Amino acid sequence: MTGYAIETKEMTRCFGALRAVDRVSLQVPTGSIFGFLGPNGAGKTTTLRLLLGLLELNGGSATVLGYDVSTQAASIREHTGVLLEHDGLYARLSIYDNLEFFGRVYHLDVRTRQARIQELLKHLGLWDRRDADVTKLSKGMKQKVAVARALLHRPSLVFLDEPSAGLDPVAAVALREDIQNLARKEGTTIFLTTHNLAEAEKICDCVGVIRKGQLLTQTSPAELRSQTGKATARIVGHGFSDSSLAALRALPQVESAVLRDDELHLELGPGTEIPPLVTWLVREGIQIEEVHKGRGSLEEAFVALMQENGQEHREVLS
Amino acid sequence: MKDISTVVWKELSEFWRARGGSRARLMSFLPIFFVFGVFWPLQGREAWVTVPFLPGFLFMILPLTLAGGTAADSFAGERERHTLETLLATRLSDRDIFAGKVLATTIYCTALVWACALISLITLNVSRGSNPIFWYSEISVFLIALGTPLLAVLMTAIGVLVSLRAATVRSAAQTFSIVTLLVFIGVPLLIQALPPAMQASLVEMVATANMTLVALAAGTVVLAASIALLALGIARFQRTRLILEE
Repeated sequence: MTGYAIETKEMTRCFGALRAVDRVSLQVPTGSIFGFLGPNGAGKTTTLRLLLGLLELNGGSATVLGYDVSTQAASIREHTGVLLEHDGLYARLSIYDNLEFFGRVYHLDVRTRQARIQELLKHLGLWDRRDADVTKLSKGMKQKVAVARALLHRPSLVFLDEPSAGLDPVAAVALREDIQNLARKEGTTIFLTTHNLAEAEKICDCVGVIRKGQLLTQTSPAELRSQTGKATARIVGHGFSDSSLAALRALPQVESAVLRDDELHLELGPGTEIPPLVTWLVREGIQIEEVHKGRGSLEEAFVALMQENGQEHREVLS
Repeated sequence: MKDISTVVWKELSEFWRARGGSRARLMSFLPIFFVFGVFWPLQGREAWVTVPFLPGFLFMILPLTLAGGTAADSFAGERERHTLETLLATRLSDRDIFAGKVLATTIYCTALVWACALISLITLNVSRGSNPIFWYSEISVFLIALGTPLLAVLMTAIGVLVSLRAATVRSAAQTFSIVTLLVFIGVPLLIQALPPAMQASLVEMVATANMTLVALAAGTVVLAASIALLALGIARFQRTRLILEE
């Protein structure tokens, strides 16, 4: 096996005339958390199904954990864990019985199974509710149980398809921390499909962006931000006036300037230096208290990337 | 075999837990136990002993009515409850999943029949007081022990085949009802369509035939049909198709 948990070359899948996955070549380093980003219908779920050997390739090749997806799909499924679009939990069974079933599926012996279920449920704060029916759980709790199920047999690679979709912000943060902690603790490679860019930015070592079945880029979140994200600055001070703002917006290196209370938010063109701008503002009579320099968020970088490739902003955020 | 028993364990746990709490579970089985284990045996009394096929045939109603409906839920239910894709993404092989589901329904129906047969034995022996102990005739034992599981397999095979392609449990149950209705109405209609002379000879043949041989022949037909339908089911069980129909 190479240093990659997943390696695809020109991987293609068509549904009739539609190329759902179009010559995708990506490499996911072993032990990393990889974010697979894209708008709805971009081909994320189809890619995931191809990597699990649940759909057949129409072209190209792919290996997962060194196994060929076309000929060794059973081995891939043996060594991976999944949380797909739906949590996939059996509503009629209790939390414990759900995990018990999957523990049996992966041939964990009784003692290992019991210890592992206890370990995961305690870690996720669900041990006291282990006998509760899944139907009685909140969406966040169900997602946690599904994450526990995916990690139960200590797989080398876990596929998570939109794990925080439909969760409230608090539950999403908790789940994100759980995924991150468990992945780091157990050295598991995580392949995470999401269109929650804040989530990807916080936990992913590496991201791939897909649109209309085509992989637009594969890089680190920081690199993606620096490639396509705009530089920003937040300046706190007094004495901003309409005329000074208008003059500021007229500067070629300033792409936008918005005043909120006493905070000036600037989006800057490529290569713009902050100190000359600060000097300019002081000359305009503005009293500056604080200057914060930043790169654009991954979301901005993502939107920029989509716009570069002809995608409307509205569609990206839908 | 281990993987098949894992699927069986899951299916039976779901059957059991689907009925709610312990009281609800008991209440859901009580009508069946009452009718098949108490009411009919007490109504039949001597006939239960003297008519050799009676209890065996009556118990066959259970797999006929329960197996197909339960099996219709097997894949359509997983699809409807969004658990099918996760199941297919596990290491379990197609054959293990398929066999586990068929076996679970068969075990469920057979266990119910055998429990009813046992309750009816107790009922009759208790009601007969000091008379000689009641026991089923040989042919009834054969029908209860082997006939009902065989019939359960056949009905399950039909139910699973229907369930593989159905989008919802309701549509699977409807299709299954139509299929069974066609069989049960179709066979008498076919007999009626025969020339009168052929009908008469058929009646005479049934009336004079050795019923044990007829039962054995019928069992062989059911076994052959079950094997054919199970083979068809395994051939139609393809992960890719099932995923695309999710």
